Amino acid sequence: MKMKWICLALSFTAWAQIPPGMVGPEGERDEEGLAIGRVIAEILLDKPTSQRLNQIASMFAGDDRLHQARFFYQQSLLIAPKDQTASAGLKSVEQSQADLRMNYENYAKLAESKGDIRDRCSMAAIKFHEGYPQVSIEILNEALVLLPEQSQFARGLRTTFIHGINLETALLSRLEKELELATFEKRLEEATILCGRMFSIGLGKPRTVSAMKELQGFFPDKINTQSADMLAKMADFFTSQTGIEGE
Amino acid sequence: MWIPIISLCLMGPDFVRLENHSFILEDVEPSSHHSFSVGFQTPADETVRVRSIVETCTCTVTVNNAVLSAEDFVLQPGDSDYLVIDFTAPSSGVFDDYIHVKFVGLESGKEQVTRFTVQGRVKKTSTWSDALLPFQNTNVSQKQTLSLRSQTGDELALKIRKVTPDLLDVSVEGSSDISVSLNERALLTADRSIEGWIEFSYPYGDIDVVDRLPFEIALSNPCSVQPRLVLFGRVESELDLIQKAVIDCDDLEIVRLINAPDYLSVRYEKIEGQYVMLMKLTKEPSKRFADDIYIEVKDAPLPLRLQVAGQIMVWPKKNEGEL
Repeated sequence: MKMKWICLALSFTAWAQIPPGMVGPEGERDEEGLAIGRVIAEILLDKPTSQRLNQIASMFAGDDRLHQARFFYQQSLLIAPKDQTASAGLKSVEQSQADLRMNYENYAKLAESKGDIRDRCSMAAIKFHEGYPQVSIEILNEALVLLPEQSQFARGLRTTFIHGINLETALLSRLEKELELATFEKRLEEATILCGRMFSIGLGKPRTVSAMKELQGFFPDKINTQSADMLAKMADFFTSQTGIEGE
Repeated sequence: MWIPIISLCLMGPDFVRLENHSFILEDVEPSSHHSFSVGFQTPADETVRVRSIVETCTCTVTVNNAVLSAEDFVLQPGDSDYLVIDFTAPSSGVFDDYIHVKFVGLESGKEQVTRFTVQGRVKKTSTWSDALLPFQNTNVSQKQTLSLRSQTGDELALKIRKVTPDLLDVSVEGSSDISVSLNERALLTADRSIEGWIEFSYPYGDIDVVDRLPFEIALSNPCSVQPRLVLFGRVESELDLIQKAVIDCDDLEIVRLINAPDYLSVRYEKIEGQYVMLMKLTKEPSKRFADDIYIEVKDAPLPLRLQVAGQIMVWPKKNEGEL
């Protein structure tokens, strides 16, 4: 189990270490968030339906992004409280989150009793995976102080996480620019997909919510207000106790 | 490498001995003439070439009744005489002038540059009733009136010569009062502190005294703009063509775009109480560009000014010509 989290972190290492030059119009990762972005674009242009929200939630769940999946299942249930797919999806996601929390607590206990830095690395990987990059870096920093003789792996993991945060920020900046350009040129469909991609990547970060509000401002009659208000609620993640960290 | 070392060897203590290098004049008459003599002695064994190389004043330097200039003048070995500096004071204000005279030993090659300074002030021949208040948003359309009088309280026949920079309308009322207000150009200077002066003259005896009245303009934008400078930076791809500014006008409303450079298109919308302005380069500007955008704001005393700047590294190919 321990190795699962470390492997997850290492696979992220491989992902995060794609050279920045690859992140561009010709880069392999230029379609980052496109699938979810397209569905979010649909609800931005139309009203949110439980079917579409379930679809988004399921995509996030399939990507192991449980906070986001839970959010969209919850929104789906607000529209259709008896929706079976949403209920089952939410239950499954909440179970996965409970499992994660339990895993985290187990690693925390092991870290205290055994003094193996890999347990702390697993804790950090879980936190990073959950959407708390800063917490994960703090865990690694603490591990480096407490167990300096085993520091090598933790250092590599920390570099990976920092690199990942920077890459995500750079990607969001580029999408933001593309969105501004599409908005300026009144390319509505493209703009909504770009906004959807920002949501897919940047969750409910304030800059993502601002970008959507600007899109709504420049296309006042085209963006569905109910959808926009619902997506804006994702910003609550960053202000609540259980929130995901943002910029 | 050798040249500086050789030069250092040739330089040494003054080889032409001079008595005095600085002169101070206090409360002198406007445009008055003054002469100073400076005794000197050249080395006994060397002919010395002398020339005036720099001067900041209306002045002449003479030696043996010959006027020094950039042309060479030769002093014989052991010459002992006076350099005479003739100085004309300005018609007003303080002065701090200097003259550089260069001596070169023709045999030894030694060089000596001596700086003569003339400092002081011209006595005041007039006085203002008040100072000009800084022009700010609160007094944009207000006229300020000042009176200039002689030291004995008499009126003066004032003439306005120049306003630098030309941001004020200045007129003489009666013969000794001036009225000052901001002109239209000044309204385009928001968010930039500017200091300048009004140059005026009046007769005093046989001369015209020329003096300056300082002013300050410190107008602020009617709205706050983020970022203060819309920096396109180094433009080399299509995404570099677009920039955004967020404008917060509190309760004021943006009415229209007054003026923008022709290479730039602007769109703006009010979003949650703030204006989001998108600016796109639609034509290739000059390689380095820096311009202003002016926007009319309802009930604001002056237009909102946005500064844009950047540098075209590569004009995106897809967008050649008009975008």
